[in-house]
Amino acid sequence: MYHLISYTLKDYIQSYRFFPPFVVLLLCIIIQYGSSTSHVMESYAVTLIYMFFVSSWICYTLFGSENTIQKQITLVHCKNNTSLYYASKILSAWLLCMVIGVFVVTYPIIFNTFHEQVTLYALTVALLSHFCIALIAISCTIFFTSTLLNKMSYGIGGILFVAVLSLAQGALFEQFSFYVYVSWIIPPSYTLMDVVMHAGDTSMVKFSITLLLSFIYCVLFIVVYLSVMKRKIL
Amino acid sequence: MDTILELKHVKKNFKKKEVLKDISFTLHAGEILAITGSNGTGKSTLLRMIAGILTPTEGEIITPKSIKKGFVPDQFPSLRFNAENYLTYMARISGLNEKTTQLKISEWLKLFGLYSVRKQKMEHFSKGMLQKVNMIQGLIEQPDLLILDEPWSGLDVTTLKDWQQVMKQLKKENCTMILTSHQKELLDATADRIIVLEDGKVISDKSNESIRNETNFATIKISKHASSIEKLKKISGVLYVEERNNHIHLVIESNQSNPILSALMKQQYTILSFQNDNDTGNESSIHDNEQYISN
Repeated sequence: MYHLISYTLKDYIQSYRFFPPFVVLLLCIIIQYGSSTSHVMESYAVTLIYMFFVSSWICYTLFGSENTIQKQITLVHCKNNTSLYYASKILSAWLLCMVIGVFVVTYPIIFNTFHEQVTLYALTVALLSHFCIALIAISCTIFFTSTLLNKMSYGIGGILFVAVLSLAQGALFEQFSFYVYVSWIIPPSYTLMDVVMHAGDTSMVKFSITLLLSFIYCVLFIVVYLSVMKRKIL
Repeated sequence: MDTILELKHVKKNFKKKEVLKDISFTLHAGEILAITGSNGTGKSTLLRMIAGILTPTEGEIITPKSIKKGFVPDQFPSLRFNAENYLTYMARISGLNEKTTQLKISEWLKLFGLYSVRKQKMEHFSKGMLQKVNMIQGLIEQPDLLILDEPWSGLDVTTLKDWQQVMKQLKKENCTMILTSHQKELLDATADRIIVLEDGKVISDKSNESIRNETNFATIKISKHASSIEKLKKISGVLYVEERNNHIHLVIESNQSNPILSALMKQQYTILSFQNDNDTGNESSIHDNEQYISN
């Protein structure tokens, strides 16, 4: 697994496909923190939205970065273990997003753009929530990558649709009463953002439960994806 | 002899198109099986199914569980990795340890003459160099079953000779090989058994020796002409066409000699020589192959 992840990351990094999402993220952060000093948790709740989109973008491009013939060779080298192969891609995307997450969280601290002191608790919540939202984004995006959808437009459309459903969950709850019945399948990004936004009033236990439930949600989605890929007749 | 591979009534459809129809055969340890047939008959699809990349629509492909497979596809991409790095990754993904990996990679790179360019990025490699890297990645794990799709395309004569030596050595080590090729002369020189596919079906499955004994071939050497090789291949009875030293060589079914010769003359080709393999016996065709490889 280690070598597969290392190979996937090197192949992806050499393709420079990470560059556009990273530049967009950098611009968003510079604009957000450039105008005025900000509140810690409110700012992190906003960067969670950026993180969701950037993680989706990275996941989508990483899954399509390997040459088709090379993919066949790699699969034979990993004994046609599709679960191992795709799990390594998911982990590679998550690792890359975690690095970006660290950058997003530490940027305002390094450039001293907060008008209050960042506590260790706030920093921990921020880091874990950024890692978690990256995994949520990845676990949704994998269903819209070229491994399952041939048309790029369908893939990107699907990702954007899920992102809107997920991030605007609060507003959708108020607008549509039926939404409560389908909310369990929608990625828990809004819940996570809500907890981060009100981290000052939220206990560590509530934050941990939200994080744990989000993680379980992601694992379930990933397991479904891996079993679909195992059964997929190429 | 141990069975390494067994195909039972294998079918493959792509959407509604039936690419392979009821393919069944068995392959034993140490055997070299060649699959030949015209373009689009499903040779590559069959190899990809054997490699485990594609799943049959119907039927079974049975291989022993512990078997190590090596796969050499027909086209190898020019990746951004350097050759040594790429091969190291492939070997480590296969499960080889660091020491064995380095040893094997150096050994194969030296054998194929790529050791001096091992640190160069493969995107700057020629087609032949890429094909060599392709073969090394297939061989790196010392596979029990080596699957080669058009392994000789893009190789120079010296590498072809080296590659034939490698195949002989692998056979001695009981490595089973299954390959596709259009290059009849090379197939004759290497394969133990030849399967001919046509329209997704096996139309012939015979040992190379029996083919040699029952089929009569003739070789026609003609001058180079503006007409394309593809046009010559379409003449009925022509088995193989190749450009060599400013001439074109055609391997034909000897019973089709007369109509082929008249067709060539009608198309204003200059016939430089005609040799019926029966005149000199089968030995001459084997000798020709060796000569071709060493040219």
